[in-house]
Amino acid sequence: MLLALLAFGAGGSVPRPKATVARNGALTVTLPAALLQSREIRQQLTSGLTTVFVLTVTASGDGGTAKGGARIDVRLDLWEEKYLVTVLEPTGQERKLTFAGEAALAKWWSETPVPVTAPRKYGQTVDVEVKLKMLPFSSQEQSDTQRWLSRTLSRGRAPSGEFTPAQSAEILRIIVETSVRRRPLLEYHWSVRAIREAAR
Amino acid sequence: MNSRAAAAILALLSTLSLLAFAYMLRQLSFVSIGLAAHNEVEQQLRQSLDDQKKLARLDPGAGPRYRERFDSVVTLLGHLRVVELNRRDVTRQVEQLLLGVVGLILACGSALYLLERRAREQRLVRLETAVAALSRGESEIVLGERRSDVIGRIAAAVERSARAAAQDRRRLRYLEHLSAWQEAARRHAHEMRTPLTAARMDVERFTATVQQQLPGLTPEIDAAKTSLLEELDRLREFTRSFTSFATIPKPRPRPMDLQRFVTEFCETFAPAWPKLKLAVSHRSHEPYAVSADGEMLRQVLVNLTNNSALAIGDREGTVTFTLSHTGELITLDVTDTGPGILPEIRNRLFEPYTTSRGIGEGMGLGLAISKKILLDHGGDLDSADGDAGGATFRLTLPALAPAPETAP
Repeated sequence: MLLALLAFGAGGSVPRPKATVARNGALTVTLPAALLQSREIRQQLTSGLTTVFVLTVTASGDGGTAKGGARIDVRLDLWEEKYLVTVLEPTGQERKLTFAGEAALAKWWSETPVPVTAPRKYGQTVDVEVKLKMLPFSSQEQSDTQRWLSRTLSRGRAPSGEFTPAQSAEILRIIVETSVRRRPLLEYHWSVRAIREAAR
Repeated sequence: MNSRAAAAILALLSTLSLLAFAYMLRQLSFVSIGLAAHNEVEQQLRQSLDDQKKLARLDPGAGPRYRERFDSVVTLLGHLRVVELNRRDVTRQVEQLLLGVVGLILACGSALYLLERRAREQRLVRLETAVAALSRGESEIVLGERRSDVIGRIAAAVERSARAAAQDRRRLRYLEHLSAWQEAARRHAHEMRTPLTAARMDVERFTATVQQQLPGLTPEIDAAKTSLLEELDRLREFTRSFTSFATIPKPRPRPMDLQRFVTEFCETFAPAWPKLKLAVSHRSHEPYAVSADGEMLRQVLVNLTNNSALAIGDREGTVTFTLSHTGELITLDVTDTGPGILPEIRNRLFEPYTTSRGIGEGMGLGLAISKKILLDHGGDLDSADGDAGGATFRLTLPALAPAPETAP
């Protein structure tokens, strides 16, 4: 929580994302490359766990208010030393990408607009509230770790059912398991004005 | 210390205990989780990853095996990283649970202590009220204490004292009442004795004179004389009863075994009531040691058995003598198989001149005299309903304490 607050407080020092209304009417967000350079995110990206970026936007303007978002999962395959990226768009479409290294990932990150709303009709001016949360692991990894904790903490139990100190700590085991939750490690909040993509 | 101060100290101690417990818990949990997620552990595991990769390159044939190990280590690293990221949450939840349990225990303990303290104060207030009532001479004191702690024992003692005081007052009232009756009887006897003696002498002298002067009337004069003397004898017997009631002697008690005494009484006096069966029953094999005047006690048993015989009449019946210990008292229940005590005289049964028999069949002094004898022994005589519908009279006498054993 302290880290998140610090990140939120330092949000102003991170370059702003770029919001664009695409030609098809979809709102897209391009995230700044500097984000990936921060120490917390670099440490997280190289951990081997899946780092989940949850992007939520609220667009308001002449055409009304629209809400949307997207999810970007990034995991470093430590054997292949490749970044595996999955982008889940608001339309439900899932894109899987692979990058050979950190530089390629940063290039894609900073140059590729991520659609955050389905195509719609926007007014002339669109103000966008962009929120980005970084979750340190995926829900699958959360479940795996809970199962692992359960197995590890249960190893002291006697199969015959006789009383052991480990059995008496059963309630602690359950608490430890259920305490493993996904909480955002970093949160950013920006307000930007969307620009319109030039017509061909 | 008043309740407020006690509660404040209790709360302070509870808070300090909780804080100390929380501090220790935090240290312990951080140590345990910190060991698992220590940097060196992570570094070693990462080194292991590099090693597996190098080994796979050097020995491509065993590549899948190294890859499998590699994946295992990656998974373990991931788990440790997740645990590390959740360290604070895990610690906090465990702390909250244990603090909750300890807090609950402390709260329950404190609540129990305060409730117990409050209950004790209420009991003390009731005890104070009872002691005040006892000092005012009230006898109906019931505290209903069931616990055997100090307050309970004091309450029981207060109740016993109240009962004893009430019994003493009843005895005193009865004895004062009886004393007035005895004084009246003594005066009546005194007033009647002299004229009766004079009348008897006059009858003797008068009949002798008449017989000298009228020898032909001797049979008639003898019959008249006999009749007059019989009436005077009845009056003399009546006066003797008054005298006997007015001058009940002081008992001269001696230690005795009441069971043996009653058994001997039954054997000796059985022929006096041919239609009655006298039986002895006892509920203990211990000796029923009392200090009593045997002659006076026998008089009581004669009175009671005689009453039973008169109540049963011409039928055959049984009088049972049942002995038992009741605390520091020995009781002797005398129960008959007669019709029982008439309800209209039950409340004044021991008052002098109370009788269910007809005029001239008894003075109604026997039970009053018997009760007086028992009271003079430090005991009492009371009536109760018999199990089989007959009358029961209960004699109580103080049990004689056993003599202390002396060293040979």
